[in-house]
Amino acid sequence: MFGNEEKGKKYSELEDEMMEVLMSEHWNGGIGGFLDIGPHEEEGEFRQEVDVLCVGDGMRGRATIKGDYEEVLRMKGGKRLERDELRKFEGCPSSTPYFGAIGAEIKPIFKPTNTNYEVKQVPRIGYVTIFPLLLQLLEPDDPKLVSLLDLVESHLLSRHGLTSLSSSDKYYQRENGPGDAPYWRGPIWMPINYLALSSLHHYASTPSPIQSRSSSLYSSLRSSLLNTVSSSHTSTGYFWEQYDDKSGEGRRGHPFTGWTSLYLNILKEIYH
Amino acid sequence: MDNELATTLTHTFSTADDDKGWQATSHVKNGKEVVVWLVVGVDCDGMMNQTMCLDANQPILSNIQSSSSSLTMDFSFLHSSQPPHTLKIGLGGCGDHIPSISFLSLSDMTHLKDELIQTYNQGEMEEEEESMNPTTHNFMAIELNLPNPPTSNDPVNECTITSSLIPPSGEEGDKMDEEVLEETFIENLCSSPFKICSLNTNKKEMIGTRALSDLLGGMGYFFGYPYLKSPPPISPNSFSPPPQPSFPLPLFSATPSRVVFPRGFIWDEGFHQLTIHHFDPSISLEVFSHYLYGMHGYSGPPSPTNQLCSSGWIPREIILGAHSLSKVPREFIPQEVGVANPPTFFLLLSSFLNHYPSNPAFMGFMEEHWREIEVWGNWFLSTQAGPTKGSMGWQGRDTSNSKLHPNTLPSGLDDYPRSERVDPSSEKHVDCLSWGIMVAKVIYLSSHFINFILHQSSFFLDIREDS
Repeated sequence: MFGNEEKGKKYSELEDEMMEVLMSEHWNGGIGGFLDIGPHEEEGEFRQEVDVLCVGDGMRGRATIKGDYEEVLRMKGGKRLERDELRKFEGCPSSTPYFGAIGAEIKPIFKPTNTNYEVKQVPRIGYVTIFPLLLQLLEPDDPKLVSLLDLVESHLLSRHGLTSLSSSDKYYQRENGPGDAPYWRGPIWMPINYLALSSLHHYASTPSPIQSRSSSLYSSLRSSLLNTVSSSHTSTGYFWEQYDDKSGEGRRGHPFTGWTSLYLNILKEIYH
Repeated sequence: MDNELATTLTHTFSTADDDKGWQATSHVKNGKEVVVWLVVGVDCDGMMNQTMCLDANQPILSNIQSSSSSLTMDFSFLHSSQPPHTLKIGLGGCGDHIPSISFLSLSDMTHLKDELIQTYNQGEMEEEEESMNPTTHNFMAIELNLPNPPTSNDPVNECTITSSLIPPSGEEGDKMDEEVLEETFIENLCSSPFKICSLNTNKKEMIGTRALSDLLGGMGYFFGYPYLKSPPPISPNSFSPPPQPSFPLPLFSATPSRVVFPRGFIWDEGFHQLTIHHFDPSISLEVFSHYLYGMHGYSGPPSPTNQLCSSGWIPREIILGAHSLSKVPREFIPQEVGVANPPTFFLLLSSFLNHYPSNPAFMGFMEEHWREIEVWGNWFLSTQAGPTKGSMGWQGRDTSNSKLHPNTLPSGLDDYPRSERVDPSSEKHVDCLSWGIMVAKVIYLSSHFINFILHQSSFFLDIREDS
């Protein structure tokens, strides 16, 4: 009627194409997970840099003063930037107000050892690395699942649930700027943990080399999560946006009555 | 004001003894022309939403006066059998703790396409007055959003609102409604796959029940004009004009937090409905259809000849009305056209296909919305396509270089680290590709399901043969 059969075929072919890319380009056997690809440098160090914000006419601009924190401080005699000085910087409109409280902003930067930025696999271990597992894209007998479960157990499984980023990662719990607390860099998030449980539940119900392992991982992760959310709820009265991977305490937005409510699905083992 | 027809209802807000929130008391005088519902919710942060719904005939806003400490609005009501009379609402005595107020007037609860009077509140009272059509409105809702209560040191500890309206059936009626609601909730929960049949069960079940109850309680019906991001400025030193509101849009949706995030988030919503649809499938289908309607809207409202004109984009956040707007920093209000988010509604679709394929409401929904779903899925697959065949990557990573590591907001995993450099022409993202594969899978399954509905062929047989 609407040519739905041809449509179905088109999407089925597309799915095959995408699976092929997933397996051939994103899989990294050494790490045992799927990696993003992009212009990247892994080696380097974190430094501090001075950056100046300027605001005018209610819109946000950014000045171009940048440099090593110590150097800029020396240059400025360790003082805050005054209004007139701030206006001199390119990019700041003439209406830029004086930043009494801010002055120069110090922000962290990553200084890579080399700056070739070759396009390559990005060796992070976290939620993204196991995404095909989370969305049940792999056949139960795919040996990659064994590696992925290894990775989950050795890097992401905490006593309170799956952490968003491995504690061995250089970005683990690292803030992204002054006052910009780590968000998906360590804390435990309910929707992704729900997907993981849903997946493990699926693989635990299908005969395969990972069936019994999925089953035991499912049970321990499920009980960790139920305990995390319920003990936090009991002590604070709230559901929370995310949970700390070390203490299990609720963090950030609260009351958070959105996807943290997947607690009920997990409790009653009702998945999608 | 016609004192014979209208009556007076006075609510006094004051800080509670424990300083944890506002208390409301109402004093009601005679009258019976219109009905007022007064809903009071106090949250932990001391924020209170005050919603008054007036089932009044054809209110016409005739005057708004506001200052930093008070707000007065006059409405006229045209009642078919009565001479026109006026409603006066006054807010005052709140000192610096000025409530924001928003209200809308609708001709029909199920076809929400009417005008909205908007208050774009950003710390100060600002009103944009728009005319209400006196011939089409028979419903009006007023929402007051009160800021944190004054502390005990604050000399101002009382706010008053006065209006000329009639109360509901009274406290006893409310109480009865509450009991009925609780009973119905537990009945439905008991017959759902969650199978919880009592409010007094073990601790984990009680918390689970609370989770669902809070999730449902956080749902809202929003109405307003979404703001879309203007095209980028021509040179770095010229600033783009302030974003303009687009077309009127209704949204029925759950919220991540009714207090902190009272608006629709497309990436959260699929997850919300993964819980809700097991409790009541029709709620989830209604919500899904609203998000799909949002997609239509962005290239103009649908018409009989223009049903599928949309590009397929649905905003990441749908922020409608004064209350929703007041909770978002101004710079984050306009939604960048074309930026994606994980299409979690496809998980919901997959769940319906797995668990409730023969649910009549679902079958009807699929017949009605299948083409839109495909447009949306196809939009995701084509716009987030990566640099090489079969690859995918999030488009719209932050390029401002203002953070330690550029955010990837479209992924939903905002600050999750990716490649150090942003480059749409070479980046390929595992999660984006995984969502893409899932979308293609579910559209494929749906196409078989639709064939089954339309041609009564065997949905399940087709699937088995193909896989």
